Amino acid sequence: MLNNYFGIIKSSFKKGFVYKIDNLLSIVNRIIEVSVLIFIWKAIYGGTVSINGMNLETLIVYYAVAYSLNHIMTWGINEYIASSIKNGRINMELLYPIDYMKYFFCYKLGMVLRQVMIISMPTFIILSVLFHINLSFHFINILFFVLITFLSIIIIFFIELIFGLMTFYTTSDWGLQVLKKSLITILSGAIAPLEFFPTIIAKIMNILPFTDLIYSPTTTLLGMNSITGISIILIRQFIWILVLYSISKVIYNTAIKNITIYGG
Amino acid sequence: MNIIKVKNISKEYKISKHENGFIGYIKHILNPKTETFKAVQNISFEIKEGEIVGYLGENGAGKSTTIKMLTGLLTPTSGEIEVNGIVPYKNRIENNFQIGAVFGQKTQLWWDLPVIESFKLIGSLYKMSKKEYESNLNWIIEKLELQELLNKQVKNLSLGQKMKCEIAATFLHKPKIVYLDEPTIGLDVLVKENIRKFIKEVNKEFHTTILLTTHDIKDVEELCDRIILIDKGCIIYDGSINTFKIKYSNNDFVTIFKKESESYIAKIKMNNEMQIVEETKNYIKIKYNSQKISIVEIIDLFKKYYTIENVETNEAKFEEILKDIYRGHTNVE
Ligand SMILES: Nc1ncnc2c1ncn2[C@@H]1O[C@H](COP(=O)(O)OP(=O)(O)OP(=O)(O)O)[C@@H](O)[C@H]1O
Ligand SMILES: [Mg+2]
Repeated sequence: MLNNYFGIIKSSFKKGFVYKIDNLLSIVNRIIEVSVLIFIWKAIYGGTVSINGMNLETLIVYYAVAYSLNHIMTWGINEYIASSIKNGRINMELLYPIDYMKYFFCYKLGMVLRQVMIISMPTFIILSVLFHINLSFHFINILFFVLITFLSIIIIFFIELIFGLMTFYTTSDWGLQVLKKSLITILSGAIAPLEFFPTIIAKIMNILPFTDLIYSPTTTLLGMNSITGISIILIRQFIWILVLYSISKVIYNTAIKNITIYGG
Repeated sequence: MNIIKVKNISKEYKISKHENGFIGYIKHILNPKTETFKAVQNISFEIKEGEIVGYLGENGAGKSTTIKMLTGLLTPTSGEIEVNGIVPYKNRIENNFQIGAVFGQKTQLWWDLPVIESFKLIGSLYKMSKKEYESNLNWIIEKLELQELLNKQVKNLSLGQKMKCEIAATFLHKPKIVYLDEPTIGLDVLVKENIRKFIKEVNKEFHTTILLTTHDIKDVEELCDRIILIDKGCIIYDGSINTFKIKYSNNDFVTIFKKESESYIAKIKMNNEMQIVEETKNYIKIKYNSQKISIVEIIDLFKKYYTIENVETNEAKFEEILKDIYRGHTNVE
């Protein structure tokens, strides 16, 4: 029999395959979004070689990578946790012989694996073909890209956990979800690279954990970050992981006590 | 050996009181007022390994609250619980390995996957070996007749099918202790029968300790050796069903078959403890309080006017006794 962690990862991995149409639509959706953005930028660039130090070709690759990541960062476990709290399934999950946080982390990992395989990869491949993207990334950059992305999955996990548990304190779980999605889409650099934001805002974004979800891994893959730049990203990620872990632990401990008393 | 030990536990729920509307909400934040509600009050009981105990009581009596404390989902406000040597609310995960639980309409199955996938997950969560998993699985498939359901998605199952799978998921790791909070709610007679039979067999075969709450009296009569009755958070009875019937049945019936067809009822000195329910040419049916008056006394009374040919007694149904207690017609010390 599988180890208990792998068991959860595997079940969670399989779960999403049931929704074939949803997955297909997600891919189509991402491709349309990126195409629209790219056409707009093509018009803006016109004959200009570079805007904010980026040429059009780099920007296209940026969007292709960023939007392939975007799905992973915006569709997470907060909805699942929210529904679990609302319908009381959480009581059953707490009866599993495994720590609740570990249970959901494995759940998230399974989900990410599936998203990478059936949404991010296909999206990226289709976009590469559509926009003739040159795939000659540097090996070292690919390695750092994977590392940073992995850490960002831990970060987004805690953010989702916090947003998910917050549902207990508000009646507006839909509002929370929209808030989380917009925060991430705007502040992660999915809409545009940091270079395109006003300096002040870019500076603030640089402190927050959101840029490391999409902007940092993407620019690293594209070779836009020096070793010092990459080090700073990794340090910032570690700090945020610690901070978010502590916050979610506190919220978890107080929320769970209150959640379990309902229903029955 | 007592596997479950509950000692003087109480559970208080805090209910926050705030006035309606935004102002009321602000007031509440500035000056929160809470009331406490005692859902379980100072209860104690012990359950032996291998016992099936029915935990009964009206809606809102505190049954689910007790079970949640036993499973470690809630911490008692005061008192102590020990389940097979483990304090559930302190070592919840460790305790989870040895227990199984069904909570009425809640499910531990994965909604959008085939049933078998949930079983596989449970196999790995409880760290079963491949061999152990397969033998447990085959055993449970056979016992609950699940073969045809395994590859169906949970969301496509009927209520009864889902409950069978739920029970299977609960017993798959062969837990030592199982809590069943209304496991037969909403099911048809056949499925109920199937589930009861299964519970009985598991209990016999593996000596599984089972605590069961239900509003279906047949569940209790067929499964439980012992009942614990809880009312407004306090235990009012703990013992066998038979003793319970003898102790609290104040509505037994006796039918006296007589030779004479005319009625002399008016001449008989009736008292408060008995009452004629029905009178025909051939018999008289009497409802009486067996705690206050015996059948012999009744027969003595009637003997004077009738030639008695036969006497038939019908003891009160368990359900009727419970109803009387719930309604407050029967006083329990
Ligand atoms: N979270 C809560 N806050 C306040 N009171 C609660 C809470 N949960 C339960 N109660 C109250 O505690 C009492 C016991 O509830 P419990 O759910 O244990 O009853 P029960 O015996 O399981 O009833 P039923 O047969 O209806 O399931 C009820 O009066 C209920 O209203
Ligand atoms: Mg209940």
